[in-house]
Amino acid sequence: MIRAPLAVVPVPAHRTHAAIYWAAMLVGAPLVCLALNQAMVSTLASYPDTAYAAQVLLNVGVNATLAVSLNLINGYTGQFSLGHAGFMAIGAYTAAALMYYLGPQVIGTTPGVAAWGVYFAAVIVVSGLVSALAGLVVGVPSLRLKGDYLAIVTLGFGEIIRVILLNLESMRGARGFSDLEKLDQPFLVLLVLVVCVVVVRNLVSSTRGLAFLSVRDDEIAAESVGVNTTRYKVSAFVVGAYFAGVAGALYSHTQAYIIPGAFDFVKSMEIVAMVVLGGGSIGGTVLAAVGLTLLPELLKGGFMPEVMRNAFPDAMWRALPRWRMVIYSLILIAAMLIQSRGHGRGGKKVKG
Amino acid sequence: MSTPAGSILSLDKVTLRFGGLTAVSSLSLEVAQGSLFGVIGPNGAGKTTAFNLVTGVYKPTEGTIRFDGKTVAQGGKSGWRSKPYQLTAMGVCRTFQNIRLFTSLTVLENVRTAFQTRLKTGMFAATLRTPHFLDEEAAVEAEARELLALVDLDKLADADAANLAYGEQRRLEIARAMATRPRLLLLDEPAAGMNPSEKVRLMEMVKKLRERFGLTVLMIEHDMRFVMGICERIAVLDHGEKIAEGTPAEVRANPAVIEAYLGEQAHA
Repeated sequence: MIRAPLAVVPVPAHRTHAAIYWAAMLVGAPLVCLALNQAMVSTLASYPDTAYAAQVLLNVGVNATLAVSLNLINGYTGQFSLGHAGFMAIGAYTAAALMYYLGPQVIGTTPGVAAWGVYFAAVIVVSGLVSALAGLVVGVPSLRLKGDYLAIVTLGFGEIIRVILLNLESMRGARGFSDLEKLDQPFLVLLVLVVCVVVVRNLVSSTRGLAFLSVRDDEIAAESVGVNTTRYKVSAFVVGAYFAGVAGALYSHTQAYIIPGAFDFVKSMEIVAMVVLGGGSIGGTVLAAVGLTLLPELLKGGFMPEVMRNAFPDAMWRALPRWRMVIYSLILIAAMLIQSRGHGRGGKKVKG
Repeated sequence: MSTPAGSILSLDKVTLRFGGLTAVSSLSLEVAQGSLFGVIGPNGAGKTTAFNLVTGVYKPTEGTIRFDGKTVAQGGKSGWRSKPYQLTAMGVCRTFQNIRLFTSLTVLENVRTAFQTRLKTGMFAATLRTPHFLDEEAAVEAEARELLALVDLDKLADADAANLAYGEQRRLEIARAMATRPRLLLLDEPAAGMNPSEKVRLMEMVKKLRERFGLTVLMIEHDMRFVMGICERIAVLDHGEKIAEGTPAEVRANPAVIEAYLGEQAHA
């Protein structure tokens, strides 16, 4: 095959650029995450309910990772997936099983923090890979299906995963894993979020990755300029599922407790809501994930400064928790209405 | 079996049936390397369907399509076709009658997207931002901007493609197609909706691109003056069949063509 080759000229500056970039990623990012970790831990220590605040913070990080990874599938590639909780479940249960059954053999029953951390880091990578494999399997039907049909198939996939876990005795059925080691510092969660954001951003801003966006905009035109649309749809599912699996692995240990019911259809919808509200861009998606994770907590009365607390009558604060899901839904509707008017650089609105 | 010398695209008795409807009937065409070849015909004559056969959108019911001596689609029971993206990799690219741009991307990004088949680095290198990837990105951007300059869109490189004027969108589609470095470029009604001065400009642009890149151009066009002015050879389709072929002068003089198509135009 005779192709007109690109006039690629090796530029020395690119070597320097790549070296600096890699130093930033390999050394800079972990250091920044570590510094943030220390800052957050010390800030939270002065908070009245440290454990609760830390838990919410960890949830924010996990949800942001889930939303950014789903945005690659639903936002950038335009494939409407409703099965993200399924990928998350696969990652969570893989991690739980590897820590619970295999952990004692590998790092002993009373490991030091360092040994535990290194093993756990390896476990979350493996959990992501297992989930990515599932993404490959689910991605294949997406060759033929579009829109609503794809949504139903991915929804079905998520439910199948949940019911399988419910019936697997080795995964302890409906009881789930309730005695996992607790990951209570945000370092790994932050690092995973950074890696996820960087990977997705690098992908979609590259010439190669523009193929994802071309599939969303016009499949026929994409094929006509040489994009194998099938390959990119499956790739989006694989990469998205990988990070959902990693997020699931983190979720299992930030909660220290997982049951199949946590990965139901509602969880998938929560992540879709973040992606739609995020409007397609990575920054918007992270913001939406932060907002939609904090909102129910705020409506419970969490993180409310004394001034606010005193400004309203006690009766209101007592009633708020009971009405919070109604208010949450109303705010979500209002947010969607406002968002649907805007047009971010994320381009076309996410289908949903 | 061999393609006549100098022919880049050859259709051999290609037929396409949709159920009972024969959209293209036993069509044979030889498009010479480096030529400007026009396909004309009344509405519903099967012109765009013929394009879709050549670009791998449909599989022929019967017949054979060869590009550059290689069979790319084969009709019959065990028939097969090359997919559009595979044909693009081989050097066939097209534009569309109803413009199909990537509307959420910028002008430059639209052109960059079309470099897929010419990239050496993959998604992994893009994720890791390796030096080779950066070199390649720079080369892609430089060539994309060059192509935009050729169609006079270089100043609009960072505009959203959706915001371009109609004529600009048509030109962007051609620049995007050129980024795949085709040897055969198929233009589906490139002059549709353009005013006379834009048409003249387009004609010059197509000629310029052909000379610069050694292109073969196959175009469908309704505008007679345009097609007669630019094409060296013209085939006339009616009801899925080729009723005439020859130089513009020959086609113009052919009674069958006058009856089927030019009759109304001749009086106009």
